[in-house]
Amino acid sequence: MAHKHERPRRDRRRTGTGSPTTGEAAQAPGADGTTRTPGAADAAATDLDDAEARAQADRADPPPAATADPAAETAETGPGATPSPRRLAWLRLRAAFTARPGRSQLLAAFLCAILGFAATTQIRQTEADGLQQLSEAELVRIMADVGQRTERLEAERDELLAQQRELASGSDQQEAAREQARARAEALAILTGEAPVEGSGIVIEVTDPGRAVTAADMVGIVQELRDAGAEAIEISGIRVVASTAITASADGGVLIGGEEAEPPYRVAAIGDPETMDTALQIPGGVRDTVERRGAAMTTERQSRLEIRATVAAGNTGP
Amino acid sequence: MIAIIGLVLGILLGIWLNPTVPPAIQPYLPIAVVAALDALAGGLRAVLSGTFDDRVFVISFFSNVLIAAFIVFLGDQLGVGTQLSTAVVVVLGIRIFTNVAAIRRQLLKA
Repeated sequence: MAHKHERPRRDRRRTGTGSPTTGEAAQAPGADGTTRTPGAADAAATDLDDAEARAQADRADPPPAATADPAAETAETGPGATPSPRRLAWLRLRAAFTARPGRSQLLAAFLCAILGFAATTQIRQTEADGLQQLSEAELVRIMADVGQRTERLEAERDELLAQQRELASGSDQQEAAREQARARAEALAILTGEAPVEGSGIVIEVTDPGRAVTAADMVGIVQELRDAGAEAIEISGIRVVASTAITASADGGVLIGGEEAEPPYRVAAIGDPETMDTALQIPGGVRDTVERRGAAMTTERQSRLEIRATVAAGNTGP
Repeated sequence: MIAIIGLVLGILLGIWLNPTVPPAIQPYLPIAVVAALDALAGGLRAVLSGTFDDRVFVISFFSNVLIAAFIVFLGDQLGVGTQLSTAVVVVLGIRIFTNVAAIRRQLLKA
């Protein structure tokens, strides 16, 4: 409460010293015997007395502040101040703002620049460092977090891998089924005569000058070839399939699927050439039968034979 | 006014140059910045109470910075660097609050 007593006196003294905008300060000798430096008379620092200078020094300096500080603080809040201290403070602030750049202003600016520079640098540094600034406990926590996250992600990855495997094998099965179906369709297309065929086989030439070879003989040849594993047969450019009728025409000629075939007949068969050839040459078999009719039959094994004739799709019904 | 220009200039310079802090002073820079902030607040308070003295301001600025850095350095040497850094920051923070409170009272009387 000693400060309370001191307050009004200090305020009176300050108001008596002069306005803050004068720019000149009375060089009053301090109570403690110190004198003020000439620089202190600059700019806004106007109505200083040494007691206040010391108070200011105490405020801005580390520790030994306690002595004059509370007094200075309460001085501004006192209700008994004659020319409102608040107004005084604003005036001083304005004076500081409008003062022409003197030495103290430049110094303050320089120090402020240093502070700004250092602060910015430090902020940048902190942003860049990240982990480096953290304490051990925080690092441990972050590591645990990362570990947990890793575990979670690994579990998720395993799950997804399993799913992928499942899908892949599923699509593999589908693919295999599709492949099978395609192969089956191909085989069926060959058997039904819807597709041209290419492969090894034999070509049989039956020269029949006397037109003695009957439809039955042709059926015999076809049967023999089928028995020997022929996959596709063509007689004189007409595809012979399961439903192809080989019949005799009115004049004793041969009708293949309703079309007249003229001798010499050229029979092409895809299959194992050796087996088919052998089957035709069996004694008492097709060859003998044909030759007994006075016709000649030659066979030629070919490793690459093509049957282009096809039966229109959907036209293979009985 | 010129002090504010200086502050802005320093910030812009820091952004523009984007310097890397040498590892030797890395632990001290944050503390030094806080100490300088304290000196700045003290200076502003002195301006408002009409007791501003550039000599005192300069000396307090540098002594604040150096003492703060020295305390941290000492703490590092003694193995209590973190704790002492915290202590310095707390003390400086209290001082900054006190100074700002005084400024506020002077300007707003509240």
